[in-house]
Formats: sequence, C-alpha cells, structure tokens
Amino acid sequence: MVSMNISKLILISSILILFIVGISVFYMSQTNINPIQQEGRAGYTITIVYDGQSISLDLPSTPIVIIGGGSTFVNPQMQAWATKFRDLSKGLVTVNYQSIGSGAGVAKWKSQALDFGASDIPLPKDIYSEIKGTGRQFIQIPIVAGAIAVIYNLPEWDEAKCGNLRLSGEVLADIYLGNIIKWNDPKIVSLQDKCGDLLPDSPIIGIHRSDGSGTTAAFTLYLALVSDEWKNSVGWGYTVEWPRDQLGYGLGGKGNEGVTQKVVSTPYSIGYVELAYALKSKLPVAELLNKAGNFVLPNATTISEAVKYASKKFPDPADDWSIIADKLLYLEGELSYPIVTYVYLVLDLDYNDDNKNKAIKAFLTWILTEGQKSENIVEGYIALPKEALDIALKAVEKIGSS
Amino acid sequence: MSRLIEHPLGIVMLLVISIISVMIIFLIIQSIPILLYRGLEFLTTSSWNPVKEEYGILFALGGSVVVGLISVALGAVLSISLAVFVAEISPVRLRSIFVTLNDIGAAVPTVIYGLWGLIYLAPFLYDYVMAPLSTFLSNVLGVPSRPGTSIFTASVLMAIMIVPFSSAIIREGLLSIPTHLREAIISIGATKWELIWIQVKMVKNYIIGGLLIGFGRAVGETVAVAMVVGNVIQPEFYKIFLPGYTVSSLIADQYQNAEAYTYMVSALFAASLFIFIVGLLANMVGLSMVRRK
Repeated sequence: MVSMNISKLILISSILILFIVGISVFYMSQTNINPIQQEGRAGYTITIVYDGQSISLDLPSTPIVIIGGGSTFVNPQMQAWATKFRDLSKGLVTVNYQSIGSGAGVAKWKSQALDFGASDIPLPKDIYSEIKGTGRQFIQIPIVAGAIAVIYNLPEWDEAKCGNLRLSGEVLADIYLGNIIKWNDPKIVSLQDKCGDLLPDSPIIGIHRSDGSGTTAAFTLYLALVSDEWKNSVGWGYTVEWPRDQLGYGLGGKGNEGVTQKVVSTPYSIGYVELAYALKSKLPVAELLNKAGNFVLPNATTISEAVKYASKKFPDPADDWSIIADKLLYLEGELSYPIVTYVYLVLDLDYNDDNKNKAIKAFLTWILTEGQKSENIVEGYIALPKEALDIALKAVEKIGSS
Repeated sequence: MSRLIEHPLGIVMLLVISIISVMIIFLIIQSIPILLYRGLEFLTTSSWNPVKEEYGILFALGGSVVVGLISVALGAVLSISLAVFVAEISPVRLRSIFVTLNDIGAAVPTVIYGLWGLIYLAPFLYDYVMAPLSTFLSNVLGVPSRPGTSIFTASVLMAIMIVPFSSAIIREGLLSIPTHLREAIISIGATKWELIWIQVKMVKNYIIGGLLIGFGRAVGETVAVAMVVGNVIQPEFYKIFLPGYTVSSLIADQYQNAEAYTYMVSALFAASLFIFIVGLLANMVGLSMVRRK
C-alpha cells in the first residue's frame, strides 16, 4: 500500500516536472514576441551639455536591451550607470551587464554573444589580430580608472607615530618572489623614514588573489615593469604562479573581499586589492615609491595625476592597445600613483540594427560625458581626464555610421 | 526494454539518464584538447601557470581526494554516533527536536559554513590542533601558518557539513529496524551496547550509502572549501597542515578568466572529468562493500 502511494507520488511529480519543462521550452522558442508598441516615441532624444556645447543623444524607436559583460571590477560602476541611463531614457535603453570576468567578457563579445565586453586589460595581441583579420570593425575605449592599494597587517607599526609603511616596487617583487622573508629585512628597513627599528623579526605572509583577476594582471604587470627577475621567472596575467607560496609564506584569497579578509585575520601579512576595498576595510595602505622618487598613497590627487600622464599615451581606439598596456603603469609625475588600472570596453562599430546602434551610441556617449561627473562615479573609481574622453567620444561617434 | 519505455516512469528515467550522459560526453569532448596537449603530465604534475600555459592538476586532484577521505573518516565517527544517539539513547520525546536540529544543519547555506570555518574554526584548529601537533609531526603534516586555512581545516569543516546528511540516512536505517527484531535481541540477554552494535551492523548499507553521499559532497563542495582550504598550489598536498587546493575550489577560482587562455577552459573541464571519475570509483567501492555479505 505504501509503495503504491510512493510510485503515485513519483508519477505525479514527474508529470509536473515534464509540464514545467514543456512550458519553459515553449517560452524559449517564443522569445522576442510582443514588442512593446512605442507609438510617438520615435525621434525621442536626450540633450546633455558637455564642454560648453549641447549634445543630443538619439534614442532608439523601440526599447532595446544592450547585453554587456566582463570585468567584475567595473560591475558596481556599470550597474550604477545602467540604472541611471535606463531612467534617463525612460526605459528605452536597458543595459544588462553580466559580471563574468574580463576574459569571459572578451571571449563572449568575440563570439557575438555580447554586445560589448569590458576588460581590465586591453585585448591581447593575438585576439586583436584575429578579429581584425575577419574584417570586423571594432574599437577599444577606456571608460574609467581605478587603483590597486597595497594593504598590510603589522601590529607593531603605529601609523600615527611612524606614518604609513613605505614600499617600493622592487621590494614588493622581492617579497612575492620570496627573496625577502622577514619584515625586518634591510631592504624594507632602509625605505622607512622613521621607526625602521620597529619592523618585527617575523615572516611576511604574502596574500594574493587565488581567482583569475584583472587586479592580479595589473599588479603583476607592475612587478614585471620594476623587476626583471619577476618578468623573467613569473611574468604577468590574470593568474600567475606565486613563488612565495612554495616557501609556505603565501596564501590565496578569492576576490578582493577574500584578500582583504585574509589580511585582516592574518598578522604580519601583506596583500593587494582594489582601492575601494582597502578603504572599506580600514586597513592601513602602504605608500609606494613612484618613478619620480616620491612615496605616494593612492588617493584622488595621485591617481588623477597618473591618469593624466597615461592618457597622453592612449592610442587610437581602433588600434592595438596591447602594446601600450605596460606603458600605462609606473609613470612620471611628482605625485603619480604607480599602480593605476583602466577598464576597457570593446565594441563593434556596426550592429546591423539601426536601433541597437542608436542605443549603444547614446549609452556610451552619456558614460563618457555625464557619466564621468562625480555624482555618477561610484566610490573607488576615478573619472578619466577630458583629453582621453574626447578621443573616445570621437570613436563612439562612428558607431552605426559606417 | 519496451516495458521501460512504455511505463511513464521509464520516460523520466530515460530523461535523467540522457541528461547525465550528455554531461559526461560534453566533459570528455571539452577535455580532449588539454589531454592531447599535456598528455599524462596533466595528471602527474602540479602546476597552474596560465602565463606559460602549463597545467598539471595533481595538486588539486590530490587535495580533493584527501579532503574527501579525511572528512568521511571523521564524518563516519560523528554521524554514526549522532544517529545512534538520536535513534537509541535520546528520550523518545526529545527525538523530534534532535531530528529537526539535525535536518536544519543540512539546510544551512554552505557559504555560512565557510564563513564560520574561516573566522572561528580555522584559528581554533590552528591554536589547539595544528600548532601543537606540528611541533613533532611537521615533517609529515607540514608547518601550519595563520590564520589556519589548510587542507586539514577544509576536511574538518567538510566533516561537520556532511554529518547532517549521513546521520539522517543512518538514523532512518536504525529507526526502520522492526521492533520484534530489537525485542528478540534484548530477549537473548544483549546489553544496551551489544544491542546498539548489532543494530549498527544491520544498517551497514545505510552507513555506506550515507557516507558515499558525504564523500560526494565533500569532494564537490565549492564555496565553503574555497574559503578555508588556503587556495595555494601545493605539490605536497598530503601535508595536510599546509594550505592547498581542491578541484572544485580551483574551478571556482579560475573559470572567470579561463577563456582568456588557450587551454585553461579545457584544463578545467578535464579536472572536473577526473573528479567525476573519482566519485564514480568511490561509488563502485561502496557498492561492492554493500554486496559483500
């Protein structure tokens, strides 16, 4: 009797499952039906003022969903922009951004599964040439900047008395290479202005990202720039092999929050995270030696100074950006912060759909103008200077006109 | 065969089996490039260096198996004890409370276990288990470091996480033993402990089944393990006090940017294929233990 009931139960639930599967299959085959009628909305525009002149953004005549994805770093900023712009366009332009990682974003844009990709590093040379070879018209533009902060957990160190810990790129490379084991290494002591004798005789626990990330790519690129040994033995990328791990003095954390958490809970540790996470954690941030020989903290002044010098080196949006990736870090300028990162969008110049062209052009033009104003920039991100924005705007202008 | 297809349940079975087969075929197809490129080295070396496109997953596969085995060993002791306590020793009136508590343990999101493991369990194990033991066992088990994230910590956490599942299954087994059998055992003069021991032997199949589910969960768990295992490529994965990796936590860490590299996607699929094979082997061992009388 009991077994009868159970088999009935299984039968009913399997019919239910089949029913649900049937419904979802039906709906999957019915996508994009019933477009919302937007009578009278054709020709709807938004007018913005940029650099003293007004620009009018042509909006599509029907609601358009732009699908983008990539960099997890830019996700909060992109969501903020998307929300604001959906309201501004009265729902005509919705940006659906998927925070799937830079590598995946670029790959999915390349296979045309996404309208645009967002990446923490420019398109690699081989991918750039491959797409170029197919005759596809596309551009890369930087949309926002950020910085990587070096955080540390050093109980003996009193910031009020000694100031923030000072570090240089060479010393950071030596720490992560395993050449420097303890905090009281002469190389670290000699960088300090005062309190050098307070550095303890304890091993440094070097914390790094365990997941692949643009943060690691930028940080290791910086180490490769300042240290030949790092460049030759480790290299740079989303994920690298950390020599310090093999000594037992390295640990991985997942995501910026994982690294921050590990530094908080591990005395005598050091780590690198996006600036916003360092600020939130209340952990002390190290002053880094810049190219001009000054020790600088990451803040609006030092990052903007670095961005100013970097933006002079930006190539044309249609060109190969991979060759300048290593020229945008560790730049001249008295106050320049050495590890500044950029988020790049890759997008097509023609989407073979007039409305989609209009939607993407309007959204990007807005990002590069109004979107860069401080009220639209999320904490931890840095707006780009006008020179860089002008070049990008000119490139965006070409969308849909070819 | 025709009976299988005609019966409505046969269709459901076919659906489920075909989904699983498609998954396996998909895994195999995706794994081919890395296996052709690296050959056996993919299984026998320990490296994860996308910069040089060098992948060898011994460290992660080893970490997964070690975490699986230790957590099942610890979990077996804990879950059999708990099941016996609930089914035999606890007052019948309180039983439903214990059962509910146990089942709630199975419903807690794994990320909560992971967070608890990282903040409380790892430092606790470091202070009271790993640091004392490593003073004379460091050659075998490795020298632990703060905050205590290690393969051992992940194993203990997984043992705690699989107990609610395994003990629920074992408990149901114990409760399903007919009363007349229990009465018969008692009537021939068995003590309380003899009664428990005989019953535990009677539910051997439940125990194996419960622990197999536990093993699968320990090997497959991603979020909680990634938070406490240390996430370091550790060729000496058998030194359990050192931070390490499991295949699942490696995949969770690496899939986001995998497509930026030529072979990484394939390497991740191949790693999951091998972890699938490990699970299959564990099930075969379990089944053969069930069949052996």
